[in-house]
Amino acid sequence: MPDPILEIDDLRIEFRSGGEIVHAANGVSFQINPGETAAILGESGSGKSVTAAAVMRLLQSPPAFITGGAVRFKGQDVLGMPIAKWRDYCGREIAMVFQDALTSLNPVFSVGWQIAELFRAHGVAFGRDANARAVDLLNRVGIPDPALRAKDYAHQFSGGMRQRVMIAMAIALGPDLLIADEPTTALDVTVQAQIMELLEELRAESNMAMILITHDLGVVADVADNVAVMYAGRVVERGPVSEVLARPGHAYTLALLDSVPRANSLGQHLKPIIGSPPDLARIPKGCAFHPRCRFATDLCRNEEPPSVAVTPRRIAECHHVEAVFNDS
Amino acid sequence: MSRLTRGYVTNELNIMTTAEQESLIIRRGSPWWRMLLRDRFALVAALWLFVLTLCFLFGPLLFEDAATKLNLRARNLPPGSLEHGWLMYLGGDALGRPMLARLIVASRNTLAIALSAVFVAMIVGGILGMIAGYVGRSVGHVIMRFADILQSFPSLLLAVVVLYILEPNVTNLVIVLAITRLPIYLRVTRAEVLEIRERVFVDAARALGGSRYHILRRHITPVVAPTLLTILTVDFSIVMLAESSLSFLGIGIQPPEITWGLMVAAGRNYLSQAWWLAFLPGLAIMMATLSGNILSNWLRVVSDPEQRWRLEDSSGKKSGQTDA
Repeated sequence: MPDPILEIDDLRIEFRSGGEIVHAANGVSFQINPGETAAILGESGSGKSVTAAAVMRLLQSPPAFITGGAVRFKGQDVLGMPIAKWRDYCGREIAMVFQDALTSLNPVFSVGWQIAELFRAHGVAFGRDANARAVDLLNRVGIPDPALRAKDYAHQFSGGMRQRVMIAMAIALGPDLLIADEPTTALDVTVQAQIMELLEELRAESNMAMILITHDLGVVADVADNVAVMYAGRVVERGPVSEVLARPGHAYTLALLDSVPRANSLGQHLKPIIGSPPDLARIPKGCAFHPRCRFATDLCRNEEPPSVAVTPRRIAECHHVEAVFNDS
Repeated sequence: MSRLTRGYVTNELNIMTTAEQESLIIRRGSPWWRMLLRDRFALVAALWLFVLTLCFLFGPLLFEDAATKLNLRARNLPPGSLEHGWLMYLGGDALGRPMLARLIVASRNTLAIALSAVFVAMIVGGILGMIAGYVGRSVGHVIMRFADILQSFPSLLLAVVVLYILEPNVTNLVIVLAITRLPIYLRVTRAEVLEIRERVFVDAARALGGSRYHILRRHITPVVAPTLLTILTVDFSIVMLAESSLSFLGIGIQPPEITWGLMVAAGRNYLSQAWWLAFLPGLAIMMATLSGNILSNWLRVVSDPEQRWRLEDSSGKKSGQTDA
C-alpha cells in the first residue's frame, strides 16, 4: 500500500453564529492514495463542501472553527502549517475546481490573462511564455480556437466552456491532487458527461489523484474507485465503489440507492428518503439517520453506531449492518 | 414533425454561427479611440479636458503678465466685445484685468489643488479601506473609528484650525482637503472589499495559491477601482468648491495667486452689477466637473468587460455568448 496523498482524520468543524453552534463536520475520516479517484457522496448540507474548504484552508474563522482532527497532505500537517507555506502548496501540488465557474473566474480579466497570471504568480513562466502556456492549456481542455478565446472574458463563455477554463487553471501547474467540488452541478446533462470525461482523461494522463464531491450517484459509479458517503457531517460508509453501490452496508446508502429512478419498469413510484436532513445545530441523539431509517430501533435512538468493517476494505457506521447488507 | 424540428434546429445553428463570427470581429476590432469617437458626449468631454490640460501646462507661461495687468478703463467690462483685445472678450474684473487670461492662469492652481487632494484622499483612503476590510478585525475597528472621528468633525472647522496653525500654502491646502475627503473613500472601499472577498473567484484564487497581497492587488483592487474613480470625479467638484470657500474665508490660497474658487468669491461682491465676475469662473468649475464626470462614466463602461459592447457596436447588439 502506498502512503495516502491526503489523509483526513476525525475532522470536526463548527460554525458559531448567534449563540447557535452548527456542527458541519463531526469526525470526518477519509483518505485517498496517489493516482486514485475518490468520491464524497452526500446530500446538500451533509458537510462535503465544508470538508473540502477546510482542507484547502478556505474557511473564514469566525464563523467557522476547526475544533478537532487533523489533515495531512503528503504526510505534512496542513492545519498547523503557516498559511503562507500552505498557499505555496496550493496550485502547485493541490488544486480545486468549484461548482459555479462563472463566479469562480474574475469578471474583469480575460481568461487567458487569468491562466497566465497563475504562472506568473507562482514564478513559473513570464511574458509571452506564460501567455503561450495559457493558450496551450485552453487547447488541452478542449476549447476551440484557443488563441482567440484566450482574449475573451468569463461571461462570454457558456457554462461548460467556463468549467473547462476553470479546470485548465486547476491543472495548470500539474498538481498531484485535484479536489472537484460538484464540478458539474451547474451544467446540463450532456455537458456534465463531457466535463467528467475531460476530468477523467486529464487525471489519467498525469496520474493525478482526484476527490470528486458530488450528490450524483451516476457520476460516482462511472469514475470513482472509492467512495465515502456522508450524512450529517460524518462519513457513514466508505469503501470501493463497486462493492458499496452493489451492496450497501449502511441504511442511508441503501436508501440513497433506492431513491434513484430506474428505467426498467413502467409506472413505478419514486422512493424518496422520507423526511429531511437533520438541522446541524440539533443533530439527533444516537445515529443521526434514525428518524428517517426503516431499520431504526431503540438502540439507534440512544447509542452512536460503531464503525463496522463490512469487508476488509469497507467500513460502515450502522447498528444494523447485517440486516441492511442482507436486505440489499 | 421531426423534419420540421430538425429544420428549425439547423436554421438556429446557422444563425448562431453568423452571430458568433460577427461578435468575434466586433470583439477584437475596437481600439479605445474608436469607442471614444462613437460616444459624442465623451468625445466633447475629452476635448474640453484636453483644452484644460493645455491651459494647465502653458497658461501661466503665456498669460501670467496679462492676467495681472490692471486696466482701469476695462473695470467690470461686460463680456462679448473685442474692443480691448481678444483677452478681454470675456470681460474684465473689478480691477480691469482680463477675465479670459485670469481663467486660463487660474486653471493651474485650481486643477492642481483639486486633483492632488482627491487623488491623495483616494489612494490613502483606498489603502486604509482595504486594510480595514481585508486584513483584520481589530485593525479594521481602529481604522473605522478614525474615519468616524474625521467625519464627525466639521470639515470646515478642521480646515480653519489646521490652516490657522500651518501656513496656508498649496501643500497644506491639499493635505487639509484630502483629510476631509478621506472617510468617503475609506468607507466605500471597505464596504466593497467586504463584499468582494466573499466572492467565489477570491476563494478560487486562494485555492490556487494566491497570497493575501496577490489577491488584494489582482482580484480586489481592479474591482474596487471603477467605483473609486466615479466617486473621485464627483468629489473633484466638491473639493474645488471647498477650496473656494476657504479662499473666501481668507485662509485658502491668497491673492495675488488665483484660483477659480477665489475668483467666484471675489466676484460675489459685484453680483448685482457684474454677474459675469462670479458666473464665468463658476461655469469653468462646472464644466471641468461635468467633463470629468462624463469621461469617467465612459471609462467605467470601457473598463468593464461586460459593459464594453455598448460602445463597441453601433447597432447596440450584444456580442452573444458562444456555446459549448
